[in-house]
Amino acid sequence: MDKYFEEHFKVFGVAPVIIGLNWDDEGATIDGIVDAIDNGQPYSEIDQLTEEEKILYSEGKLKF
Amino acid sequence: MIPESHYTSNEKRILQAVAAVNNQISVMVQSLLKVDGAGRIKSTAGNIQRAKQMQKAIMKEMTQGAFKDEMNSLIGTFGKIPDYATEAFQEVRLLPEFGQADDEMVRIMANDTLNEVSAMATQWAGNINSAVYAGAIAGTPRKELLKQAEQLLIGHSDVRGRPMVNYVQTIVNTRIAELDTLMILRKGDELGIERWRYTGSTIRDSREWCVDHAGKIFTKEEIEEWRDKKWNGKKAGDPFVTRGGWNCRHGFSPVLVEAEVKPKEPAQKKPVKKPVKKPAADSRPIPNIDFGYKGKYNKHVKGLRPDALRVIDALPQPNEIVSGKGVYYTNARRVSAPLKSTRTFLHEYGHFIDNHLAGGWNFTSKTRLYDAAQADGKKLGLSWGGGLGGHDKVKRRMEVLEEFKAKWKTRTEVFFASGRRKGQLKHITQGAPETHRGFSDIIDSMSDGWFYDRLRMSGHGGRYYYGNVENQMTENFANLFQIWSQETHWEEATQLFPNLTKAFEQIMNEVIKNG
Repeated sequence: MDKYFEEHFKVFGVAPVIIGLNWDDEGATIDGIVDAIDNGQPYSEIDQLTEEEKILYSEGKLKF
Repeated sequence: MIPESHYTSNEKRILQAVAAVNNQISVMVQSLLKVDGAGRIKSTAGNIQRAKQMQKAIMKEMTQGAFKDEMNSLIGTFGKIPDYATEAFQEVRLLPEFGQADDEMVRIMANDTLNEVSAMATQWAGNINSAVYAGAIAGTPRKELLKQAEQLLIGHSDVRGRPMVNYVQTIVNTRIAELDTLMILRKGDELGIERWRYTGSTIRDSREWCVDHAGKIFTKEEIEEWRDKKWNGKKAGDPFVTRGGWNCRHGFSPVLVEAEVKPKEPAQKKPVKKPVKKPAADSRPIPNIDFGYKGKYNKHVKGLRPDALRVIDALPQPNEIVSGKGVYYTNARRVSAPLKSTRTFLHEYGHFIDNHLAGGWNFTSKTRLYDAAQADGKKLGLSWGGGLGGHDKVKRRMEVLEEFKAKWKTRTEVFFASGRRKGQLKHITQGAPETHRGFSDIIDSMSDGWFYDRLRMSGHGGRYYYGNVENQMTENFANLFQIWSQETHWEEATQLFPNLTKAFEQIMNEVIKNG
């Protein structure tokens, strides 16, 4: 897992944004980071939320 | 008990603060929106443009600046609660002790209240902005528009619909009363109080429920039975905390006398069952759970411990269960979990139960598990009750986390299951094993997300946990519900987290007993 984080940091200069969304599916986080590096877009779990979910998340109404 | 003067002072201060906002909005409307000879707002492009610009200023007026400062200051008076609680115990000549956990509880509830007031202000700013913008387009008389804004904020006796000031007063006074009664209950538990008198002066608009119960003495179990009763103005949640309901100014004071006359409650006709730990040969029926959806999710409750089924059966079901990522939506009472993962389903269902027991947007774990989590976290060397902790504590925490990692770390090779790379190595995971993911996440919550962030062990991570007691407690509850329901590793959990598991079991027993 660490190597994916390191690679992400090396490529983008920032750590992946982990909000706990995939806490129960480590593989999904790794796949997401690998895809993000391939696509040249930093990994952010916030981006995996719908617009409605983003508002709920910011209000603390989503529990993972 | 909170003195009446505190409530009335809150109401007065809130009214003054909202009135000041109304004045500011009135000044903006009068100075920026041009009117014709009849006093109507001109429907010109310039006026519409200025109405748009005003929207930002109105939002700022209501969510920042003087109004927010005043709400901050007012909610800061929540800090007086330990003094009020102390006074409540003076009658029985007991002196409660207050510590960091109590300060933390005051801080959490004050923050929650401030957030609720801020959300309310944002919502009302939107309502006023809509009225201003519509007024500029429709050419509403300026006087009428000002009246509309005033009605939204302060209200008029001749217009229906509750203004913002009433909502804010209700929120603040209800929350401070809930904090007061919660603090008294905690201290009562510490001091071994078993009976409580329902106290508070009955006024003209007191609820019938409060009038009927005022002055009478109850055990905690009897108060718990209020959950099943219905009356006007009742608020969902723990009856000891919510008491008569919204705006209720009654509370509980400790009683030491043994031979008091019990109130004549209908529920008293039934003998109160004493909580008994049932032996293996439990003759109680085991409920058959059906979540609907053509039985799609029923497989998740097969083989659970009977008491878990009783808990699920005793409570209403979520509004919606869907297949997807593991998420619980507080606003919609929606449980989402991957169809294939029973563990995640039970975790998210645990969030629902936690939320349901407290009502609204609250979670019972925030108050009921906090002390236990602190105690277990400290004992394990993971928590130190906030702050940076200092070199020794940080070092100790890392040592403990390394030990857990060494104990649980599991390397799993994942291969592509289909497509052109079928059979090739996809990635390697190394978190906790399936049986201990819940354990690992509790350790992550106790370490503010360090277990995930620093050692990549299973957990929600620091962005979710750091400084967020609600997330820490709700995840503890969800993980405990999953481990407890599936039963096989509960014994291990009771050894690792003795206080948390005990507090959790107590909540479950209460649900089974009272529904």
